[in-house]
Amino acid sequence: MKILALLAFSLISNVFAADYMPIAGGTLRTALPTDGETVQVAAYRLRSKPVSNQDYLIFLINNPQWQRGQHAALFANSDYLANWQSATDYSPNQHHAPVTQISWFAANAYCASENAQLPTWSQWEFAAAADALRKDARSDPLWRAKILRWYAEPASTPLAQSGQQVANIYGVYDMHQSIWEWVEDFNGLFVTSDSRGQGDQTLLETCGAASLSLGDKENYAILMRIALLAALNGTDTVNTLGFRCAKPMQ
Amino acid sequence: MLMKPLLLSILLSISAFSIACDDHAAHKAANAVAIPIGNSLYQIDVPLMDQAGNTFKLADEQAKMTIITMFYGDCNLSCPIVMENVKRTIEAVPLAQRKNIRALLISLNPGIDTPKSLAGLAKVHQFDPATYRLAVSDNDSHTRQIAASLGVKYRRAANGEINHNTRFVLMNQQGIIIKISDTLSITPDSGILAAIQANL
Repeated sequence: MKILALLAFSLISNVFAADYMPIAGGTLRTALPTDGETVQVAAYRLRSKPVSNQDYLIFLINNPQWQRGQHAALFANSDYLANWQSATDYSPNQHHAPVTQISWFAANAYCASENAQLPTWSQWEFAAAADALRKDARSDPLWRAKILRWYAEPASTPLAQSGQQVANIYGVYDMHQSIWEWVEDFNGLFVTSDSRGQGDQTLLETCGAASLSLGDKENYAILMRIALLAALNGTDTVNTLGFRCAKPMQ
Repeated sequence: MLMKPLLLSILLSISAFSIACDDHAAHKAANAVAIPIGNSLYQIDVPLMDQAGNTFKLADEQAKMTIITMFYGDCNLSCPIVMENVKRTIEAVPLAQRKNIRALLISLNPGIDTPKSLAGLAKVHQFDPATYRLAVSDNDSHTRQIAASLGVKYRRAANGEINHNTRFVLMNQQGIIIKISDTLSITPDSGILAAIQANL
């Protein structure tokens, strides 16, 4: 009966499918420059909220190979969803709180189930530059200080429900002050511009010296995200690391 | 109003159950043939196309050992070194045992590298098709899945260059990684050579 109710629930919740907010894109002054200080971001749509525990449970029911205990070690480590009561019970986490402790491979598979994919770093960074009124609030020291405060706070578990902060100008919630988020190209954020620099590579991957090649150095909050993502493997899971998905504009 | 979707969903769930059972049976049958081990690379369900235009998946690589690396065709800096390393690694295996090892070089540049361009590269490097397979997937998302599984990091710059780390992965017949080298050199990695010797 419980499963029937869940399936009924999944059907109803499909009616309220995730919102994807259109973002026109443009030129982004990026913290991760490749050639020059800016990148062009094409128009795209971004999920208004991170994927929730409830969203993820529905995915697990439809895709049991991704349930904890049934998942392949190649795609997620043994801590995958370890913060859930059981393979199909997310308590003590809340329905509308972001799902965390998810590997990159799992996040990828989830997004594919919404006919979407993980946002690229540039897409994530573009949307994360905005506040409620401005497309690029990053030069505002007050705003920077506000989002930076979250990183100083110990993670509260279980996590709060999404959507409790004000949405940004695109109608996207919780880009800051909620969770860390996977991006599609997490394994390409920290590569020296010349791959012959092999000897220094391991140093750069873990060392603060890498910030020498980063732009936007005042924006520590963004730099910390880059540092975290760059240190991860695709199978890693973290109890404050979740994800949202993106789609092309049409 | 709520009753209708509820009823519908119960109906659906019943059919979903029977489908699930069928699936399970099919799954079991398939399992009898080959059980991919938890961390086998054979589970990467991503299409690849080689220099002869053949489509395949990683699970189709059934040599006793396969040395895998990622590269891209227009790469003039590190990739010739990578190619030379793979060649010398293969040539370190005595001819009589050469059939036990294959090399799989996977492109980081889908859409730009094609079977035709890969065939050109294979010719330049005099790669014997019996041993060397140059391959490319169909899109970036699939390519990144392979890279993430192998621990290859790469980033595309606006000028078309792809910055990437160098990694040689030695995979056994079950798709399990048995040795990794991150050393960029034309000289084969001693650890990889030892692992090949031990498993020939």
